Amino acid sequence: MIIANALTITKCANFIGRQKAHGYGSLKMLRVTLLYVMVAWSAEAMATDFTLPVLRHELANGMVILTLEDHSVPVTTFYAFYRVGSRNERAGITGLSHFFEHMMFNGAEKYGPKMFDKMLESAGGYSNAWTSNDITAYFEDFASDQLELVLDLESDRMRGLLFDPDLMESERRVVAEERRSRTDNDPAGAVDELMFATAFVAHPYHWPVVGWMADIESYTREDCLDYFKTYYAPNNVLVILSGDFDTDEAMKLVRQYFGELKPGPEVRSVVRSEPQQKGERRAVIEMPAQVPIVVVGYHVPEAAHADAHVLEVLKAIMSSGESSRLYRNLVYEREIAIDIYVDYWLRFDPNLMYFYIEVNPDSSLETAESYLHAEIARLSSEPVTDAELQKAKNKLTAGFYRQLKTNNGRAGQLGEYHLLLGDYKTLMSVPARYEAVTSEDIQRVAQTYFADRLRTVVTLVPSDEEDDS
Amino acid sequence: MSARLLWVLMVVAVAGLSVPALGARRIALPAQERWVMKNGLTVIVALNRELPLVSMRLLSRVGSVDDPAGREGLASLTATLLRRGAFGYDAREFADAVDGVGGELQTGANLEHSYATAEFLARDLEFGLGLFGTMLTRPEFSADEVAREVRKAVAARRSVLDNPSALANEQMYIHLFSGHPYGHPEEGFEESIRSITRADVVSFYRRHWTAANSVLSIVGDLDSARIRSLVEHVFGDWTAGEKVSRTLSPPTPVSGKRVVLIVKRDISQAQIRICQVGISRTDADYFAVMVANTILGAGFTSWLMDEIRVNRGLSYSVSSRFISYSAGGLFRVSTSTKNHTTGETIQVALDQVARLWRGEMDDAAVQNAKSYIMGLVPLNYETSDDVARALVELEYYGQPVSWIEDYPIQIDAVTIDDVRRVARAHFSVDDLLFVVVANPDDVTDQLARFGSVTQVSPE
Repeated sequence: MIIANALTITKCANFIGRQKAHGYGSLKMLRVTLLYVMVAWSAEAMATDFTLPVLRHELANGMVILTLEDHSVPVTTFYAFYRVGSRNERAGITGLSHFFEHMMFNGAEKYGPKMFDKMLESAGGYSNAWTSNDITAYFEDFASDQLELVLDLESDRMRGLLFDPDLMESERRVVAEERRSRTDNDPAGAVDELMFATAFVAHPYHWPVVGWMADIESYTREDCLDYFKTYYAPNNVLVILSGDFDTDEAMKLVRQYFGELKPGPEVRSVVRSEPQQKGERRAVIEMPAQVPIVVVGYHVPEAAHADAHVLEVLKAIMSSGESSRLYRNLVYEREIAIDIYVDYWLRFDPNLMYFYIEVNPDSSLETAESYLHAEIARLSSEPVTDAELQKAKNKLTAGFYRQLKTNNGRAGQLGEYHLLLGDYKTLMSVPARYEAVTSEDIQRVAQTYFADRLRTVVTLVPSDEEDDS
Repeated sequence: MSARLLWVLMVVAVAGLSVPALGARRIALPAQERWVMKNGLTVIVALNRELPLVSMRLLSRVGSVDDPAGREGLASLTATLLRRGAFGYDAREFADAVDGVGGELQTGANLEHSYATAEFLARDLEFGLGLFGTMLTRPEFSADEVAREVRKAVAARRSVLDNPSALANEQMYIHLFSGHPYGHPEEGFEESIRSITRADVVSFYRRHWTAANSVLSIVGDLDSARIRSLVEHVFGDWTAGEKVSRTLSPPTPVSGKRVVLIVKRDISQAQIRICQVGISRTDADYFAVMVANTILGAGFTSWLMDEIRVNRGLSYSVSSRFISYSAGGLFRVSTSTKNHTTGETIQVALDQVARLWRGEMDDAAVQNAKSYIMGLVPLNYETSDDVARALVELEYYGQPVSWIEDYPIQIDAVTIDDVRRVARAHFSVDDLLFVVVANPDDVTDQLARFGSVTQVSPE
């Protein structure tokens, strides 16, 4: 009911049917059948037409609400996407968007310190939030009869935050601990940070979402108030309701709680300031570790660019599943790597795609890096086969549908696409856009963005620990 | 004004909004059909047409507790190797086939049971189930693949040492369950993995991965009329074997307080685990313990979160949890903090456990914890793969489906007296093991007051 006309193509190869026809128990025949099926998958595309019955509403103050009514489970998700992330920061206040995300749980005008969570949790609800380079998002999953409470809580903290000085100091320490966990004491986190800091020299994607430690230690209450006034206004947020509610009744409540909020000033646009890279850049982290890491990154376009979905397919070819190129060749065949992944996200501004290799300690950084370069170069030098391309598309499309399993997942996807691509309807065309990618597209995109002189290489070199004896 | 009075006033102030007391609603699981095949395989299927996907999960009653001494890691390796070729098809062909239809396939071993899990588009159900069954019933375990997987598992062991949190969790099991089958990592140790041979894997598989020793669930957008014959065809000739019965003795409780300091230099944040032996999943006190633990350390309003994170900013993450198996389990408080506040953080955590032990919760705290659990439990069974997993695990623990369906009702029935009683029975403040991963130069002095400190360099 949520997905109409989805995946209506029936598969031609009928494994069990054939097995039965040839007489069950004939192992030899089963083998033939399985082989037939394994060949059969490669030619087949998935259906690409689907739709979600989303309604768009807009209040006089500029707040946009998307609703997706679905009564299959008595729960609802509220999701608020604010158009602010680390790209809206500047030197000295890096990480403020993320810090602000934490402060949003520390008391507002009606519901003071600690009340947000107390009210919500005692009503059987769950809340969390996340911050990216582009977006700060908040969500609640709750029993559907608690909608009014959630709207009350969310509108309260959009209307006015307290910024209690004691809680601000405490939260500052919490965020410093978060940074220690995710970056300072985590090799993958440390490498990720250095990759962006090296590849970007001018654009705000240079600094980490969590912020530099010295900045975390020095935000002022004025910085927060300023941020709040600018970005936490109804015209800078997208709200999504997904789940078990009556749309008319829910919208009446939304108007009641959010309708009186005043719109904020127009938000200053972020300049795409990154100059063209001229030559390979390299950076090294030395830290005590067992496993070396090599990461190779390239500048790639923004989410709205026509090549964005080609890059998603390319990423799947390289890294999705045990049959992907990097897993198959580097982890499985050559045993050079313990683990691989490709980091690439849809972003407002031109972004990075990086290839990450945890190097098998029995191999070497140099070997791993040269094989990684060879795999990347192969994308430019030879077209991917039809079977490999279709496999990547199927993997992506199935993964795309999986993300829509829950109310929370559907709301999250709608929000990201509406913000990053300008219209939630783009979500409905994602499978079709994957399907349209050709092997020429992959090759062209690789040739365009993956030149040696455009790359950034970061390595984590294990250093010896001090002797403790 | 006392903090307590303030809290009462705030409750009054917001009473106008009226949070209705949540009635306990049963969990609505999709209707299941269950049968036992001639070879002993228990099968459960359930319909869920929300998305055009089908999830399948097979549980075998074999886990790392069944690893022979010196062969730790065998259950895990055997489960992984299922994916590395069957019936004349090698590992590459299998991965190509799964990925080719956009499928997901995973296999692995837990402490007490192993799993194979897959998800395919509904239209690929027959193909996917065929692959799944072929993999499970006719694995090859080629010598090359065994050798390769041994090398991979050894290399992967070393990456645990680079992750302070994973290292702390692993060391907690090793030291809390020392001498018990729960007490070694599922993945094994470098030396024990190296000693595993193909013959070990084959005989382990033959004994444990059999129809009678397994449970299969299939949940999703499927044709109920046809699924039964489909399953019979795919699994009908699987070796019957026998349901392996093993008796695990309960783990020995911690006696007194001691500290195990796992040496990791050059980290700026200590990983802390405060643990003791906990209840089994079928313990009569299970639901009351869940409520008590929620008050202590689940959610953003728990005592641990409030005191350690919100009031003091000592940590980003702090929680308490019971992890329950059939013969017992563990209870642990988990957190991390910068090196020089390690002692302070542990002390604040212990103070909260002591408050719980003394029964300092009020009726509101108990009601809030119950509402929180009742509100969140349905989200655990929202998707087909969640349900598929729950169904096989219920079979494993010998619990009826109503154990899940009535979960909110059981929670709702817990009283403050129950909570106070189980707080005394299951949350000790005297018998505790502290596992800390940190730089000894920075933390040793802070740890001595919690018990005798043993310094350990990991593997």
